Amino acid sequence: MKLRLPLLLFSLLTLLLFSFSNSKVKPTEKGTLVLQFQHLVKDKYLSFDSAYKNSIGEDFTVSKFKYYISNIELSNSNTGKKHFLQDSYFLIDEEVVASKTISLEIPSGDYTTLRFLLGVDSIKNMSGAQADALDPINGMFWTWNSGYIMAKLEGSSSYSKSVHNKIEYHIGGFKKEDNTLKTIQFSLPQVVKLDETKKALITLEADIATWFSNKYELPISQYPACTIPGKLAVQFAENYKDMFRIKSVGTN
Amino acid sequence: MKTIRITIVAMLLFVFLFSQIVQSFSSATSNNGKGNTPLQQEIPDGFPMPHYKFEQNKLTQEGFDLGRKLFYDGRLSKDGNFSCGSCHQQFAAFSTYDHSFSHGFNNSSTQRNAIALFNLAWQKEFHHDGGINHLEVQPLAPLTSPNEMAETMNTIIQKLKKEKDYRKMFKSSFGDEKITGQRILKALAQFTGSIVSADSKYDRMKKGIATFTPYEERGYLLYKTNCASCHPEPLFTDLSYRNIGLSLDTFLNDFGRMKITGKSEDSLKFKVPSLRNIAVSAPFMHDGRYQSIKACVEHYGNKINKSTTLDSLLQNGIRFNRAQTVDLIAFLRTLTDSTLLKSYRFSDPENKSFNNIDKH
Repeated sequence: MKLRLPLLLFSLLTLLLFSFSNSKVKPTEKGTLVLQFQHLVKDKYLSFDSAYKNSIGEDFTVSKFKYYISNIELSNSNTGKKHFLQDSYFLIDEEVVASKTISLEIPSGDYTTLRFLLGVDSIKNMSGAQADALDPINGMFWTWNSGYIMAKLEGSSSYSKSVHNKIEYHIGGFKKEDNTLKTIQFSLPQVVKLDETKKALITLEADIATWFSNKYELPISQYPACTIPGKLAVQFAENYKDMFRIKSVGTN
Repeated sequence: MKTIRITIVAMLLFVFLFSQIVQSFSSATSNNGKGNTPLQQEIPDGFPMPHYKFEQNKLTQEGFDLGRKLFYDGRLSKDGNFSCGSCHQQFAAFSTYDHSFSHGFNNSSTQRNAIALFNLAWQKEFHHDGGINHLEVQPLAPLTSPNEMAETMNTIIQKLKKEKDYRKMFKSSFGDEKITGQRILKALAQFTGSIVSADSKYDRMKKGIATFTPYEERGYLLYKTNCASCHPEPLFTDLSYRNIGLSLDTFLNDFGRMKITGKSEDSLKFKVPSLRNIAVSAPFMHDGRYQSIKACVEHYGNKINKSTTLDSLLQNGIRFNRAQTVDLIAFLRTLTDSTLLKSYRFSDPENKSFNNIDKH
């Protein structure tokens, strides 16, 4: 009788241990996917020191260019396999070199499709004080009308009628008709194979010229600034949602 | 004997694993409060469930104390002069006493009347125009606005890092000494979200431990028939946005809610304020244009400015004769929560002469 209780306890505990260790012993194998972002105006790489021309023929310079990438998902259109990166928010900032390369741990496998959100989803816009990429310190949060600036472009242009010829586009808004969130999806030009030994690299280019003319023509002379949610912001977002293209897919 | 030994080993293993699990769980919520002394959120009898329930910001004594210290610390402003508490004065129900507008950095002035702060946990949106969608991010507006505290979060963090007291308090509230914007905002929310006003004479009457005078009783009835649709009990506001016929001040050009929604139907609409503590929070309205409760009551009688967005309930105004005005004001005065106004818990922790505080 004396021995039975410890025995019972022991078997219970081993059972428990087993159930815990089971999930620990078989971790999913993961590979590293690196996303690299490069910024251009048409075919020229972006530099804060250079002047560019948009497709309307207006000259401009850039002094700030940053945007949020979130809700990244990789999938395989053949097998239906999907991996969604929960709680992943990245602020890509031209000024911060390290921010333009993001490294993701993804379960091993073959992937054919890359999808992400350009901006911060509405839930995080409504969830109070956040940290890291979403920290208001990054200058991407409106203090007077709560919400994230999804993408920001600042600079100057001789066509701007603003003070010091400034151009200032702070594009945001997440509610109903003011929603500027854009889902970007690419069928990858070649299958990305991820396993523990190989790192895959996808290089994306973002062309700033799209901001001014794509679906809508938004001349600097008419719109030197857009700093509140609303119709104009939605039009800018409609334009820049096509700024990305896949430059290359490779391994390294 | 062997079985017992194995049992002990297994138990030790179990304890170890369990602690690992607990640890991984708590590190996943690393910026949630980690203070050791949990506090229960106060939900007064008869109040609805609060909107802000401290779910992602565990309410603790340590977090509350840190929030209280931050609320009263002038170092959160650019020149050190303006704490949250300097424009949100406890004796005025955390509004700015006797000021239509509050003073800010470098002799600047705000453009709206400082809102009284209480029962904030029941509110979804903040500011007169409802532009702020969460209690935790509200402080960002006054902290960074050039005509208020005019500071940046970065500089605030640098300033606080130099203070041993703060490093200690952040550690006891969040588990380590790291000072971040998120932690500052969460701590402030622990303090501001805890400010509850529910101990006025009216509340005591409801509980049956106080009796209204005949004036107050008649005023209560007048309130119920004329005011309660926009200022319903127990919060004394329905938290909606309404145009009550305040003519546009052409200097301020403040169109209220329209600035946030961009919709013309929201022109001149402002958030319905609570009537609680009205007797200590003059001046009134979003621009502080009325200095007395009487002036507010009279507004509804004969000063309503008609415009397309004027509230449907006010198309014909609400008239009170002189006797009714006296009764109504007598009732409104029962909404003053002296317990909150004098509560040491919500006072400036640096104020050693708390008992001599201006009670006007």
